Amino acid sequence: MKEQSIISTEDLKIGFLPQRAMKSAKVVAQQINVALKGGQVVCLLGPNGSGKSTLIRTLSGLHAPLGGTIQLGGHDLTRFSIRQAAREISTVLTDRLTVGNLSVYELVSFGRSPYTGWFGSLTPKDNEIIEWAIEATGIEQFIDRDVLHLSDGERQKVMIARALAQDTSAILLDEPTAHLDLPNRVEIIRLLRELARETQKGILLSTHELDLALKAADHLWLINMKGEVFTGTPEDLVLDGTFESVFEQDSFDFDRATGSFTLHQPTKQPVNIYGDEVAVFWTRRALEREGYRVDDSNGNSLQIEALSREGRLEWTLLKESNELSCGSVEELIDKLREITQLVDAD
Amino acid sequence: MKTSQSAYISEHKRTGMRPLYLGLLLGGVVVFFMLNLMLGSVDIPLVDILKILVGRESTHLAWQKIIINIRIPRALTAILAGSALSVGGLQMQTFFRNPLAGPSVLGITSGASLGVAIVMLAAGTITSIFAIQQLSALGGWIIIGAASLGSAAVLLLILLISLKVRDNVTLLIIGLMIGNITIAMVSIWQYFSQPEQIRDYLIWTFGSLGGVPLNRLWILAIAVVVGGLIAVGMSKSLNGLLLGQNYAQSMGIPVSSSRIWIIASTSILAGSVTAFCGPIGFVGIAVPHLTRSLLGTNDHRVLIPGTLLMGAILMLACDIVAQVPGSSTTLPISAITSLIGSPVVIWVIIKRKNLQASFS
Amino acid sequence: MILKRFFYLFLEGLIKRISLNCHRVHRLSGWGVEIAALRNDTGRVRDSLLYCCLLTVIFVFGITACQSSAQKQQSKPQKTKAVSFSGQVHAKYAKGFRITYHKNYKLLEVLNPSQKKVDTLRYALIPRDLLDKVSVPDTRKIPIPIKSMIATSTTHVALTEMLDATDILKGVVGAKYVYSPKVRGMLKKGKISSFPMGQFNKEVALNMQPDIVMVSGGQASQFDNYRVLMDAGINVLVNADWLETTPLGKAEWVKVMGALLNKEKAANKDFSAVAQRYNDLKTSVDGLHARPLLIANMPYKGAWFVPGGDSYNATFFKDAGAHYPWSDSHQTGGMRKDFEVVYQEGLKADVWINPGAAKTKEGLLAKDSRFKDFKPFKTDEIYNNNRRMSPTGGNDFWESGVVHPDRILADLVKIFHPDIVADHQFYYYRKVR
Repeated sequence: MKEQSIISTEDLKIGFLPQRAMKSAKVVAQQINVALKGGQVVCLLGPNGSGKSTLIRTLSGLHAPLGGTIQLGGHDLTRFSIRQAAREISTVLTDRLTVGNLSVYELVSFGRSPYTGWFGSLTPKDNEIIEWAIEATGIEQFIDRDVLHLSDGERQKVMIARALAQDTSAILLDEPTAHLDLPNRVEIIRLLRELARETQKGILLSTHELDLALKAADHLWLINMKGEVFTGTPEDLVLDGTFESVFEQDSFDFDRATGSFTLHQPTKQPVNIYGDEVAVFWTRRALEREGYRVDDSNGNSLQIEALSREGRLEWTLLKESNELSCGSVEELIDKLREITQLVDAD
Repeated sequence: MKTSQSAYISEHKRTGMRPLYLGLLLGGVVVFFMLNLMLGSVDIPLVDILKILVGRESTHLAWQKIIINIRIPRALTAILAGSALSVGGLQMQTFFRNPLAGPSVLGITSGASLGVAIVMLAAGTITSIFAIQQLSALGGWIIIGAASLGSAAVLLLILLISLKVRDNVTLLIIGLMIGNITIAMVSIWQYFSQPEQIRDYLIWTFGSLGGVPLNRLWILAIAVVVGGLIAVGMSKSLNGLLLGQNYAQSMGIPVSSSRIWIIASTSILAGSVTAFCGPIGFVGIAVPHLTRSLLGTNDHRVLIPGTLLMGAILMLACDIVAQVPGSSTTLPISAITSLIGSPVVIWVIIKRKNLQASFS
Repeated sequence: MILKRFFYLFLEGLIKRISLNCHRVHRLSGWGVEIAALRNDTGRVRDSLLYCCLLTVIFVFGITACQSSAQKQQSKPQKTKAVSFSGQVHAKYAKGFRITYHKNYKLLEVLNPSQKKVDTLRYALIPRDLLDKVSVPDTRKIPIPIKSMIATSTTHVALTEMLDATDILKGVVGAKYVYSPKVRGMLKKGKISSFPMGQFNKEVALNMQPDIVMVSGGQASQFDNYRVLMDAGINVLVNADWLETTPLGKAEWVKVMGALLNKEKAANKDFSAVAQRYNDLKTSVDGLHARPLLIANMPYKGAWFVPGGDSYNATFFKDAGAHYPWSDSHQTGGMRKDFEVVYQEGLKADVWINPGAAKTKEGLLAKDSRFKDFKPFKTDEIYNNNRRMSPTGGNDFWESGVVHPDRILADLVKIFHPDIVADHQFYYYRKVR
């Protein structure tokens, strides 16, 4: 059953209006046909400067599109008043907070603005929603604290709580994990996924965390530097090569097998490694860092066996019937260096 | 549900204190109002003051005249001017997200000064030519009219520019530049004027709360009430604007129309006070900080009334000092507001250790 | 009165109430109707504001209307005997006032000479005992003869002194600039209060309840204060002598003082003497061809303000038979000239008049060494009008000089044509050595 999308676009063209009379408009992306459905987490990815922020701001109505239409629940966005649109879409932006003297509770309660009267008074129902938002984001501990005295992670959660309190069907986030450390990043993404599942809201976020996005997103929207937008599940986009093409740069490439980027070029001879799964995975990384190309054929002159014996890991280096035993990856690497030096000297 | 209950209770505890604070401030206004009536160049006992207030005849006719014709209008003018300038300053500080902004930041008061300079300093001295008419019953509107026209002209300019310029920082700088231009024009005018005219203009720039008779006070009152009501109506928008224009719009606040209302409200408040009382500085910058410090919040729903009352109190206090009770000299009010206000702001900053945190 | 006070408190309360929680107001006040309308979810800011504004405006107008109607005084004309005024004064040289004598009052109209058709300030001078019985429309009542007066300029002091009425002075603004020894004595003894020169102190003035406060000068910054005083029932009388362009016109205002004091005869006599002497002097220099060239005043902050051609001082120069370089400019105030322009004239001028506050030639040089190039500097023909100065800086030139222009003219004639007034001693002027 095809559900109606919360936000959908038709031939959308985004960019900036000409600054001066003579210059032409700067088009950032065109022919955008995307849709955000409820219960989904969509990640918007693209290289720096590809227009992620512009797209988010245009979709949320903060920035005027250059062409095409945006539909909110089937109706044209331009027909919504600012207040009505605010009841459907909430945003979390990269704008810095410069204000203080506001408690966290007050800031979250601002999210109820589209529903309160001219004076902004809160009804008990408003308070209920605010409390629910606070609980959902886990910020009960510091609702009385001044917003300037929050850490980056806490502040981000507070802004998300505010967006939650706005009770919209879609939440758009512009780089919500930008200045956070890894645990916080994971927490935020996890939080967003939970929310999408439980509340059936549509969540769109732009991010630079490619690996997190690949794991967490139900859908990906990719923008490349030419302004083209591709959509699909992360796996489809990886498998059909779109992902790679969007991020195509000279210095590195994407390894479909592992879902990560290869940082290093193989410069040395091929090596075969087998044994304990976890040990093989991590030893492989070290070997690739050293410049070895790891493949599965048995015909390589270098073979490494990683086995777990009596609770400890042991590596056995086999070269042309020579066997060397190592107790750690570091030892293994050192031994390898010695051997290859000898080979070069020959 | 336990956490939500405690959240609600603690929030209520916070906001429950607010009417108390406002009540305290209102009490402060009454106290300072009475003090203002009691202290002046002529010694009038409190008993007589109270008698006159409730409408009974006093022993000295002169005292009755002094209280009714001089002190009451002056105290009321102080209340109106203090409230108006403070609320104007508050709106400018929130709108531009700048703790040093005041009601004169858009150049409105400079425009008023230019208008007055033109009529006071012109080669033909318009005010001198109309001097006789000035003192007749219908006369005396030249200075007020000129100041209002000057403010209105600058206001129009700012509104037009604000339609084109979306960025607030740009608007702030443009406003400051317009203010500078008008000040420069006034300097040029002064350059070509005679020393007596310059002295006359200088006295106007000192500001005066005592020059508004009762039958004119109502016009100032209307302007202040209108400006104040608009500000109150903008409480929600101002709250949203605390987070910036983008967030405000994303929360459903109509930013473009809010800008116009905010600019209009500040201009009415600052322009009317400058027209009737001359330029009075500093109050608009200091009082919002004091009020934020006292109330501990940036929520404009309580901050605006609080600022109104605090502004009235500060202005009444400054007026008492300016009267130099006991002697027959009076000091210019504009200098007193700066003298008293500046140390207070310094104290607030030091106490809070961070202006950014205590502001806004 | 009290209504107004409560009204303003009501305004404050209105503002505060709206800003508190709407729910509570709805319960508390009787204005539940409109407050309930304000709670509408779509936020009709404009509607509610309009409502409140209308409400306020209606209240304000209502109260003001009540107030102003209460203040309208209905006085019925009563039958009184005609009063005979001994002596009458009429303006001959002055263009700023007009006095007419009626059955039982004198009508003083203060005019703006540049707008002849408009009589802008009218005072009815009514004998004290008839004050309540006589009413003249469109005027301000002043009881005569006046017994108390606050002077805002030392010229006013001179007016009273000329008519021997210094005891009516109760307060003087700028007391330190008073020259008259007699008045200074009264100030010292406390019989006259000294008013500060800044903002006019209305409270002390009100406490004195003077018959009139005489004001002069186009000081726009003080108008508001005077209006407040007038509202409080104090008679503010405008002495418009600063708008007069001729010295005799200025001096003739002593007749206004005379009318106020019922001393018209004395005023007439004194002024006629002055006018006679002045005109005689003027005619005596009329025929002379030799007209010495003069420059006047001192530069001030790089600008040299010289008297305009039609100003008080320039008229003196002309009447004293001197040639003033800018006598053709039709300015009644000062004119700003470049240093070089005046310097040029100064190099060949015969006389230098009124060089600021200078007392000695060294003092002049100290201000600017270029003065030594001036011809009057070399020939020792520099004169300043500071011969009669009080210890605290008061200059009699601006005090009694205003009512004795004949003395000033005599001094100037002595400077320009010494042989005509050989036996006249300098009164206000002295040579700067």
